[in-house]
Amino acid sequence: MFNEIISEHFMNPRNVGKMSNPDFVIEIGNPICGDTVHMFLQVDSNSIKDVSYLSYGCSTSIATASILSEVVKGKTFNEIASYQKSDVIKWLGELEPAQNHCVDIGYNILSECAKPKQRKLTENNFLVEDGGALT
Amino acid sequence: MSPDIYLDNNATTPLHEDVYRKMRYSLKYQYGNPSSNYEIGINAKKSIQYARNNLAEFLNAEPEQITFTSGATESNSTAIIGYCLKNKSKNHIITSSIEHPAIMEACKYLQVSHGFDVSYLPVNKDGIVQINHLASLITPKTSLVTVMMVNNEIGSIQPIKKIGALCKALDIYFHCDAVQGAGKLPIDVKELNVNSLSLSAHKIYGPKGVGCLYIEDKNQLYPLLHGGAQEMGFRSGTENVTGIIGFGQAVECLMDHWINDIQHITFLRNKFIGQLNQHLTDWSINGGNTVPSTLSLCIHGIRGEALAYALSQMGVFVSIASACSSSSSKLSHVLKALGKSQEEIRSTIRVSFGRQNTIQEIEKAINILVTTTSKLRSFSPMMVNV
Repeated sequence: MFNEIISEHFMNPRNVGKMSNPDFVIEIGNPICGDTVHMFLQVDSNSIKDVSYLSYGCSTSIATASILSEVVKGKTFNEIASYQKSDVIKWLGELEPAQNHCVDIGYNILSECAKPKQRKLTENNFLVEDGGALT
Repeated sequence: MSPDIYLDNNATTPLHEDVYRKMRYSLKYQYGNPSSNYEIGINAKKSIQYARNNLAEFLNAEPEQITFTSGATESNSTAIIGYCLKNKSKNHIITSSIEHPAIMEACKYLQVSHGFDVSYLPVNKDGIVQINHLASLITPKTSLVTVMMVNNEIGSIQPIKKIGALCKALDIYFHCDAVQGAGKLPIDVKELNVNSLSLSAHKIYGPKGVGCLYIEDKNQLYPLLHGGAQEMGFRSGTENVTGIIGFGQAVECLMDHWINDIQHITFLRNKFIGQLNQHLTDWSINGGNTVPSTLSLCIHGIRGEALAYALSQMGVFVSIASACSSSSSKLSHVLKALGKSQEEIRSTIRVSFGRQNTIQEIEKAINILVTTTSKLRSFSPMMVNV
C-alpha cells in the first residue's frame, strides 16, 4: 500500500509547522483532489536556509512535502534547479497508480523553490468541486 | 506493542469460536461429497441440511427456499439477473442510488447487455429512500425493485417492509440485499414481503466464500450456474460443505445472541460518540436512522485516507469512504447521493463495531483517534490559522 519511505515520512513528518516571518511562500495544489502544500522559506542570497510547511492531503502527499522539505533545506537555488522529475520519483520510491500525482506535487515544490517569488499566501482553495480539470 | 483494535466489522467479522470448531471438525472428518450415496457423503448432506434449517428458521422461511451460494455477490446476481432474464416482457428495474456494487453492477449488466432501463431512487439527507419516490418511478414496464436493507457505508436503515408491501400490491418482484442487516435487525421474509433476499456468512462471524439466497419461488428465476443440479437443481457446483456448516453455526449463534449483541454494540457506540464529543471538535456523522454498529464520521480538515492509515499504524483498523485518488469519479457514490461535498467525502472514515469489541478497546481507540487527528490537524492548512 505504501512504501517504507512514504510510510516513515508520513508517520514522522519533518520540518512541519508554519513560519512566522518567511521570506517566501509557496502554494502547491492539485485541483482535482485538493491536495495542498503551503511551504515557507527563509533564504539568503543564493540558498534556502530554513523551510517549514503545512500540508493537507493524502498520506503520500504529506510524506512528499516532508521528503522535499529535507531535499531543499540548505541547498543553493542552482542545486535545486538542477534536479529532475526522475529525482523526485527516486526520492519517493515505488508508488501505486493512485499515488503518482504526488510526483507532480514534489516536482512543483522543487520548481517553485528553485525560483521563489511569492511573498505572502493567497490561501488558494485548490479543490475544484465536481471534477475540475487540471490546469 | 500497539494494540490491534478491529473497528471494520462491516468489511468482515472474525470467526465465532463455535464456528471455527465446527469448521475444523468438518474439514478433517466431513470430506465426503454430499452427492455420494455412502456414509460420509450422506453425513455431509445432512450437515448442509442442518445449516439450511438454521437459515430457514432465522429468516422465517422454508428450508427448500434457501439456496447456498458463494456469497452475497452471487446471490444478488442470481436474483436480479435470473429474474429479469426470465421475465423479459417487462424491462424496467428500480434500485436505490446507495446500493452495494454487487447490485449496481448486476443492474448495469442488464442495462448494457440486455437493454433494460434502470432507475435510481434518490435518498434523503439521512441516506434513506422515500416510498413516495419509489411509487413515482414505477411504470407498467417495471419488472423488479431491489433495495438494500442497511447501507454498508453509513448504516442507514431502508423501509423494506413498506417497499415490500408496495411491490406486492403492484405485483412487482422485490429483491433485498440484507447483508448488512443480518444480526442487526429482525428479518422475517414473510413480514417483509420480499421475493428474494441475500445474506453473507462472513458479515455475521462466519466464514468467507459462502452466502445464501432466499427465494420465495424458484420457478420465477433462471439459475445462474448450470451443471450437476446441486442445491435442489437451482445452483450447480459441489457444495462448499465446510463453509455452509460454518454459516449454519454462525446463524445459530446469531439467533441466540443478537439482541445482546445489539445492546453491547449500542453501548460501545454511545461511549465512542460521547468521548468524541468531549475530546474532538469539527466532526459530524454522515447519515441518520442507522444501525448502531455503523458510524460514518466526517472529521474536518484532514483526509480520511491519511487518518485511516495513521490509525492503522497505531493498531486501530477502520475504513475510508474513498481511496486516495485524483479522480472524483472514485469518490463514494453513497456520500455523493447524500449531497456531501467532495471535501466532506474525502474527510470521512467508517467505524464499524462488532460483538467482540470491548469498552477498553473503544477507550484506547478514541485516545488514538483524538491524538492522531490533532497531529494531522496541527499541520493542515485547513485548520492552522496562517
